[in-house]
Amino acid sequence: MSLVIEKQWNGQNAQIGERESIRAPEQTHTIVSREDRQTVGITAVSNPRIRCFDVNVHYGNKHAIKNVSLDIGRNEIIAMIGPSGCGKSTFLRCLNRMNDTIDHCTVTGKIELDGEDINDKSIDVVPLRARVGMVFQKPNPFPKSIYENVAFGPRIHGLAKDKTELEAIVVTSLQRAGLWNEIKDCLDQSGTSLSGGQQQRLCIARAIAINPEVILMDEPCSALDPIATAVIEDLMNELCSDYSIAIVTHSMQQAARVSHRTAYFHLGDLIEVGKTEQLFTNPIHQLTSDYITGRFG
Amino acid sequence: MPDRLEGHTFRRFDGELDHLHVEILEMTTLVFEQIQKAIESFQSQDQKEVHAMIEREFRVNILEKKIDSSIIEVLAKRGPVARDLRAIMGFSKMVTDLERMNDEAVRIAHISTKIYPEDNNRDTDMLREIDIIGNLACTVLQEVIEILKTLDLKRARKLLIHNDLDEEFNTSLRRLTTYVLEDALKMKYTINIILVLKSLERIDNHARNLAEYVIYMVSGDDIRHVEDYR
Repeated sequence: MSLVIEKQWNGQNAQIGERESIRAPEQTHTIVSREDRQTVGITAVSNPRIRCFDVNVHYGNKHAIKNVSLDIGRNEIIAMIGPSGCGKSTFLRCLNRMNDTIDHCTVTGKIELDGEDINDKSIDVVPLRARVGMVFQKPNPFPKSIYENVAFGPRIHGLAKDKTELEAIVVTSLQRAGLWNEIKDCLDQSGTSLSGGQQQRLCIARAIAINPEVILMDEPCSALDPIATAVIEDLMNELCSDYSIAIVTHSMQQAARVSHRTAYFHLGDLIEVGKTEQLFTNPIHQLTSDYITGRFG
Repeated sequence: MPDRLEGHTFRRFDGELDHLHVEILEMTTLVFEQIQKAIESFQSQDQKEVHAMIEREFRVNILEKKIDSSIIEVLAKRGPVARDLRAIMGFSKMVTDLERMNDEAVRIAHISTKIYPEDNNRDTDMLREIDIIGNLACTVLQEVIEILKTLDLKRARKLLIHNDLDEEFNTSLRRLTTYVLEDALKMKYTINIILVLKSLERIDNHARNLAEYVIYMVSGDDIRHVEDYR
């Protein structure tokens, strides 16, 4: 039986036999110029959880997001990077209609969650936001006990039949968030008394307690030290076996470490999407290259 | 400094990459001189130059360690990605190839010290083989120095398309076989000539590797071991 070697050329798998020579890359990609604002890379995935088609966001006269189409796959971590004001957080907030709360903000285009248009008038945003949870830059635990912080969501969404079931959800969520061992003896303590990293993990526990399908993270580690950051990144890696995760981050290294795919935004345009390893070693668009190598920004 | 290495918001990063580039060029030039001296002194039997060349080996070794250290420092401090990462990886690979080229040059010098004091039957015909292969190897290396200076993708690709030295090396081997068949006493001398030719052929291979790294640095295409490329 001949040994078959899996060889990857420019992200495309090709099987080559033992005796065959290694083939040259068929086509060297040319760098796309700075002026070209068409998205490069494949925006669609084979197993999408969320599909976005031609999403545009306006804040009054300001065109914040321009014709962005992008899929978020199941069990995938997708990182969104770009300079400040490029629209990555705005785009993230479209995914659970957080922009509804902003005056003069209009969102057009189509965003589907499991094939269902989330902007449809029949969609209730409360269950939608339960399905698409969010973790913010600054940890924002409720001024309640640790237990109550996690129990609040399942209680109002009616996810537990009785107290025992609710306790089970709280314990499981805290365990999944990697916080249980640190706080199991002080569940009555206020959530705000925890350290920054613990508070952020409490917010993650709160988000996963209502069993979401997607977790949106808007710079979740920007206020944390490297150790707390590492814990959150490890956690993301574990959580992606059950959830889709979209993370906005200013840390290029974090995007490179945690994500499967990376999307680069620039002045409201989605410039490039690709596998993280490809984007960080050989980006196709000049703007992506300039940004990640620190040549502007 | 080629523009693909500059333009960082952190200006010092530009300087660090530029410094690495200059050090690589310095090492390449030094290795080139070593190879030229090795070929010249082998042909002229200038033992003084041969020994001087062997003593200069340490300068290349010191440069190798210095560049490696600079590379580690840049990796640790800057966390480079994309073309910067490829540039640094390319420089790192180049250092290894350059050091091996220097080793081959020194090997030629050692062969020279070994054969000439005891065996003075210098054979002009055989030395012509070294002249031919040596010239080809030096021409390739000279072109590689220019490619390295400018990081010119087109020139690097062009260099790799043709390989005259491989063909000439096989022709030389055939001619040397004929010499041995004519006079078996020339066996020892011929073997040493073949060893020198082999070193020159290795030098040519390493020089071509440098051009491959330039292609990787600039375009991201890894064309190593691609049979149908050349």
